[in-house]
Amino acid sequence: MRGGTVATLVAPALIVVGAAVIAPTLWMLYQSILYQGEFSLHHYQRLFTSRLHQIVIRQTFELALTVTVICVAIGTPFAWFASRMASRARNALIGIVVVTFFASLLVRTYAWLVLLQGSGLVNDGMIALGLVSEPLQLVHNRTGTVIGMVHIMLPFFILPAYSAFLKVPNEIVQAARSLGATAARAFLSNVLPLAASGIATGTTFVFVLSLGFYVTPALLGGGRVMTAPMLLARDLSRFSEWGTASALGAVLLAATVGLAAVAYWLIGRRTDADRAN
Amino acid sequence: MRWLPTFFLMGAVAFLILPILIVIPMSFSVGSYLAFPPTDWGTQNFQALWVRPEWRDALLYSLKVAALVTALALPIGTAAAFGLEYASERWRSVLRMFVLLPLVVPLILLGFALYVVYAQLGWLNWTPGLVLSHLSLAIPYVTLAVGVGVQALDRERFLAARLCGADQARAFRDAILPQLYPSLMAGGLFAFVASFDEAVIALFIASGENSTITRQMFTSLRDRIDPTVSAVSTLLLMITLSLVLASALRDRKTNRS
Repeated sequence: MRGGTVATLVAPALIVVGAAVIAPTLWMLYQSILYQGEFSLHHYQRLFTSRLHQIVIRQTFELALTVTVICVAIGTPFAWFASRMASRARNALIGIVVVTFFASLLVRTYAWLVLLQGSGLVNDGMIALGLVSEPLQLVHNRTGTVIGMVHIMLPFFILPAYSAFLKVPNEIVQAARSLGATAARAFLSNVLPLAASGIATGTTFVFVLSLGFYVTPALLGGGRVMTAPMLLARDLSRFSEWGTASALGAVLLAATVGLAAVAYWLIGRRTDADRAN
Repeated sequence: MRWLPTFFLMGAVAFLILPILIVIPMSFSVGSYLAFPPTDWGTQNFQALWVRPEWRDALLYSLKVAALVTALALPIGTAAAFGLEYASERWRSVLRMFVLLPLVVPLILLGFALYVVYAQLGWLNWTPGLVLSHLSLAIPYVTLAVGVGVQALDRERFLAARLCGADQARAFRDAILPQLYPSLMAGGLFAFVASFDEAVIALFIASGENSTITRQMFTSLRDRIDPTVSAVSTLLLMITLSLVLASALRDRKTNRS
């Protein structure tokens, strides 16, 4: 079971990945540096001088950043509290997170479309509670897009953060508290550093995946949100735009793969440092 | 202050699960697509899924593609799982990275790049073209799921079968394969869902007569919402739930043996 056998066993999978992922991606990169049949950086220049592309790239990063901040803000206390529950309650909570993790993105986007509309459950509820006097515009704009994306991305943050918190012993908190630290202080300076790699993994997942969102902003944004993936989809139908679209795709690919690689490297280093201590 | 964490957890869980659950009662509502809670109840959305040709054809087409993808991904992904297990330390991480690559590249980029390539090859709206791209998404899931089973294999059973006179193929079939059934089932379900639930690539490279159900659903949500969407949603949720249950079951069995 050496060399040759391993190659034979893995080859079919590699052929599929090569044909369906690597070859088209390389072709896209090649198209991005070709202008009128010659090698040129024309498309990249256009990318960085066209106002539309600048706005879209900025919006894509801003949207991803907003979603990431909200996911960290909700997900960190969730993962921590959940990790301190009795094992039964803990498993039930994480079971629900896992179910939502796997639930179809399209289905969830549809559900939010229904819930957030003018006469939807959320607006009706807020009116009944007297929070607002007339329905708010919650969907077909940025707000709706952010809500839908947070709902989809939250499990991607909670799951790694939770498994990191699970390894923090209760004694750490008790020791800090007995030395006079407030609960918040004990959490920030004693618990958080121990779970840093899990939180960093979750944060990277959310940010990187948010950069590539298409379906949710296209359906919940109502044309008021334009992300780089949406621009790619639009340019698809215009043959003359394929070059610039390929350059935009290359930038998106570099951002995603680059960020993922940097995070992987940093987190790996951190874990090694933990081990060395 | 003790109730605060519980209160927060309940709120967050409600935020996560309730929007998903409302889809089920909505699929049994009659009339206006966006009314929740529904005023009248009935199964007309599910009937429409079968009676209206655009939905039925898309559903059947998606089932066909997902079945093909699963049938191909299971042997290819399982072979890769064995290959990774037997590879030397150094090669394993490189090979694993390549096999798992499709999970890292944003779907929108794959959709765009595939459209451009397929347009030149004349492969747009061609079933084998869609199957190939979905296959690349499904194989990593099978390799991951079966890999767990391969690591937990009791190899002595294989030797025992060989000692009892079985040839290699027979020993593999009778002594190794049954141990992998739970992993294969989980991997197969993952592969099926990876294809059946995929909306972005299909949006670009599968249109016209070869529209998938997710593409049909996306265009309906974008242009003119059709209540049939809620029936499709319930169907997709049921498949997801069976996926989670199957992998939970697999973990139990693997832990026990």
